Amino acid sequence: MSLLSFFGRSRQFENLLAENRPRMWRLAYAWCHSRHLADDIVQEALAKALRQHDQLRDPAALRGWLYSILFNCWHDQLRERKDLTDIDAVDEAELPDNASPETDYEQNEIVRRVRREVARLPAGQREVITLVDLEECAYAEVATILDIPIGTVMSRLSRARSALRDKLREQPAKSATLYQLKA
Amino acid sequence: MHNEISDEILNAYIDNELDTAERARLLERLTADTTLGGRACELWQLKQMLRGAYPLPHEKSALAGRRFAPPRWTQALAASLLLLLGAASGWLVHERVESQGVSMRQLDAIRHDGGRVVLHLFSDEPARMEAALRMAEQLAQAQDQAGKPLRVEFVANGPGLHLLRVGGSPYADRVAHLKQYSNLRLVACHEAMQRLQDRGLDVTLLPSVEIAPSAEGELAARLTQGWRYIQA
Repeated sequence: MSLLSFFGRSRQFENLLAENRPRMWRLAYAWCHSRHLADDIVQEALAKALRQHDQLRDPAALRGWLYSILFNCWHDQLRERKDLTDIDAVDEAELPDNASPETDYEQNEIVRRVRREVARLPAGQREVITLVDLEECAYAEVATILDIPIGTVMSRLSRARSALRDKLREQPAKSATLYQLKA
Repeated sequence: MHNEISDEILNAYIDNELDTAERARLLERLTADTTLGGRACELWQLKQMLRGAYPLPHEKSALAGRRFAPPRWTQALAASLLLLLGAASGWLVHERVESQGVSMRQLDAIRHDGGRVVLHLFSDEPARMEAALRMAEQLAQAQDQAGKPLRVEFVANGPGLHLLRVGGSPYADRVAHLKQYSNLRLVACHEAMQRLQDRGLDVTLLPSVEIAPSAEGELAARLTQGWRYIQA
């Protein structure tokens, strides 16, 4: 039974895609750290999902199926654009505009630091840690989405967290300052 | 479980990937070994920090393919506060809910800090839910240094949200029983509710449960105000 016949009308499927779009966008952004590229990847993934809806047999598997398509679209971009292999510039357009109070500045600095270090991770590690932490995917689900063994999921996650821990440890003073300001 | 605990095992622990027996064994080690506890604490904080750095875009904005909603300040603050608390004292791990309930040392610390405590549940493991409930009941009945009841806030998110759901909680009666304590608030995380709804689950909360926009924000607000933190 195809998804369309399950839900009866394609309109309902489109609504399901629309509901999933914010999460797909966040994931794509966490992979590429570019607002515009995230837009492109999500648009392409949603278009593919509409075209390939017959491939989805189990509606309960929609999320993983969409993330898998998103992952493929992201890797299409990686293959086409060599400049994406070394992400050093994080698109910061998404930070709050009203960063004039000192506290907002400090808070945004933490967000920037985390994003910058995530962006510097190898793509494979970045994909795993964002699926686990942002989307709360189980390891087995991540393995299916990325089409890798579950042991690879665990080792990539471990390396990613270890690298982030070491990098974020380097500047503890920011956090201490923030605590004193707010306490 | 071997003597040497790898980061991969600790990651599986904080990601709720261990089965009940493995989890119980590791918890014993975490309680006994402060270094190991510190490592687990740090990984947990890192997870929270990453989540805080990528807030879900505002649905309307995302559909338009344009701006992010500004990250809530509390999410970033939560990350930094938790980092500080963990780094300073190992409080997060060492003050995990014990099967025996609240220790005198924990009570003394809470009383010393103004008699306010936030209890955080991020697990749907029945034994942990039960232990968290027992602790909530004990804290709600305890008094501060001035003889007034402690102020207690019970925040549930992630898998822990099931405790507060109609039809999802194995302890609905005990949760309902907590209503009698006017000094205790039950708080559900709205983001966690949305995630369950995304999976097609009906998320109706038990009576008297309040809703916070995000657990991280709620925890950050309380920590900023000087509340003690205990993770179940």
